[in-house]
Amino acid sequence: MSNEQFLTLTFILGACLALGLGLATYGWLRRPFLEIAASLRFPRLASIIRKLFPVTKLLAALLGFVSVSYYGGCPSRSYVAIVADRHYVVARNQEQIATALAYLVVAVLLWGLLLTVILRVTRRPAASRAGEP
Amino acid sequence: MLLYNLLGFVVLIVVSVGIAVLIYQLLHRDLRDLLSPALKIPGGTSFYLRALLIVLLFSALAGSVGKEFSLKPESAFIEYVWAINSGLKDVFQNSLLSLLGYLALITVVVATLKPKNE
Repeated sequence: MSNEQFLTLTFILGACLALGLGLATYGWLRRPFLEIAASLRFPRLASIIRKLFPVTKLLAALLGFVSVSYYGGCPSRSYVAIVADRHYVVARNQEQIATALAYLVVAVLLWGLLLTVILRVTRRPAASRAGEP
Repeated sequence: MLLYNLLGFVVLIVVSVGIAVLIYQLLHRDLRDLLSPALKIPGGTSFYLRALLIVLLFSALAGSVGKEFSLKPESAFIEYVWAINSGLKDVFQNSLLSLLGYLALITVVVATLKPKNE
């Protein structure tokens, strides 16, 4: 395998792994999240956050992945130097996955905060939750 | 990548996952008791507990996955230990920061949603 093929392959695998991490996060939180959404008083808002939840997880993972530059800091590397050094390519891949994980952590914490605010503002009164008039 | 480099990387990943699971085990029962009366939705407590596991696991993994192991074949054993130590620094730092973030979140949850008469 040539160095260019290695670079392309590791980039695609890294992107797939980052997306997989986003999907896994969504899958792990999906059921309790839907239960929270079902308890809200406004069905439209519940529908909106149900759709936004997976999107933000995937976006956070991808944002972390694409925010790492292969050109490096100062002085920046040339494309030829990047392709020639497989260790450097692997290190950038590791950094991409680490950044995707960090962005997912931030996304989960922000959703926790957002749900707290939404629950405080829009939760059904206790009587109507229990099915009483 | 040398076999020893790969081994050091795997050891670092295993240790960071172990630390995250250990912290979760220490906290999750008390956290469930704290959150259940405030949230009053079965899924609510479950959501915040699962969020804790994700936060701990991902922040620890973010610290360990980003660590480069590029030691030479003639490197001494203790150099691998130092490399793992260096990775653990990031793992502990990320875990500490994310735990503080989660603590702030739970404080807001309880202060906002807990009934006033309790």
